[in-house]
Amino acid sequence: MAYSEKVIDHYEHPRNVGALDKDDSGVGTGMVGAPACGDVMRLQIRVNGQGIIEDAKFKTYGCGSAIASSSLVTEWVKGKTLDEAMAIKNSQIAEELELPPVKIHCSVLAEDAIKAAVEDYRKKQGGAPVAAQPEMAGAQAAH
Amino acid sequence: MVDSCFRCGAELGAPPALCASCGAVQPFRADLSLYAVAGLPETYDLDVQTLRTQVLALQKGLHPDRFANAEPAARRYSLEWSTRLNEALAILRDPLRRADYLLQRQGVDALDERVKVADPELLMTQMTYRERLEDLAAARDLSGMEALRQEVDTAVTGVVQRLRGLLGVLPCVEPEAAGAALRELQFLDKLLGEIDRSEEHLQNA
Ligand code: FES
Ligand SMILES: [Zn+2]
Repeated sequence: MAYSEKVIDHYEHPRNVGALDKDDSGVGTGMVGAPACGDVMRLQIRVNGQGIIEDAKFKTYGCGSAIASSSLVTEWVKGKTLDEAMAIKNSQIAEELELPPVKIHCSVLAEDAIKAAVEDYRKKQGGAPVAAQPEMAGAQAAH
Repeated sequence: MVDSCFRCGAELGAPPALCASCGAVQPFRADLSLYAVAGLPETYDLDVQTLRTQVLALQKGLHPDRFANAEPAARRYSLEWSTRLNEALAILRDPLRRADYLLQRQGVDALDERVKVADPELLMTQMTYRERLEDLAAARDLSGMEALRQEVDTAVTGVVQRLRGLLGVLPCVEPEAAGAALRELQFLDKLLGEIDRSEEHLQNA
């Protein structure tokens, strides 16, 4: 399987690998797994008082595409609002990384992980989950 | 329904691949399940040794070499039967693939990539296992890895036990629960593969 240069770059120099304190009220944690291959991913965000994501970390036990997808998403979400982060689509990830169709589930994992992280953060804030905003064009130009 | 030999009309056994009377290899039957091809009843709880013995015996009789000088149709049939027998052995001997096969037969694709894993506890456990393995690898701790492997083996035994119960009567009446167990097994199976890889890596370093 030939990986694109962008995948290799993220794979060899993953951005934002690590963990944030999951018990911190300002941190949202998303954990996801791929039944098709048995791989797992954790993606975390730290949100400031203005509702902006100021830090993101990930840990992915999976293939190169999954590592690159999660690495890319942590880069994309920094500086974004929660709704903007929620609007990220796996198709954007796959396009940016030029993933072949068989590797799509790996980018789906990253989309699911950021959504799960935002949901976890919102749940911690105790508020009723904010109604999903209509898709924002902003997320497209996200890098 | 009893199949009969296309050449001499004698009754065929299970699988209906070779005629015991005239020795003719029968036209391949793509409609047969992997179990039927192996001449075994369709159960999850199967004895792998019996499966292997059975398949190897059938392979012997159907080996394409035995039909090297036969008519083209017979050569093709023997190749088709033995290819399918290989597949039956590979899939049915493995508790994971066997469960997946049986669930797929009733239209349940539990490992489909579009299925979302919604069990936070399962994900947490798997994530923790992987982190432990990573730490053990970094510390070059082979005995720690062996201990981890034993723990994971025990977990696998537990899940297979659950699958035995759930797939004891077919078709399974709790496909949701069986699917969840199958997914858990998939994560554990991948983890075992990763433990193998890490150990090899350490031993070769
Ligand atoms: S193959 Fe498992 S995440 Fe890509
Ligand atoms: Zn016959």
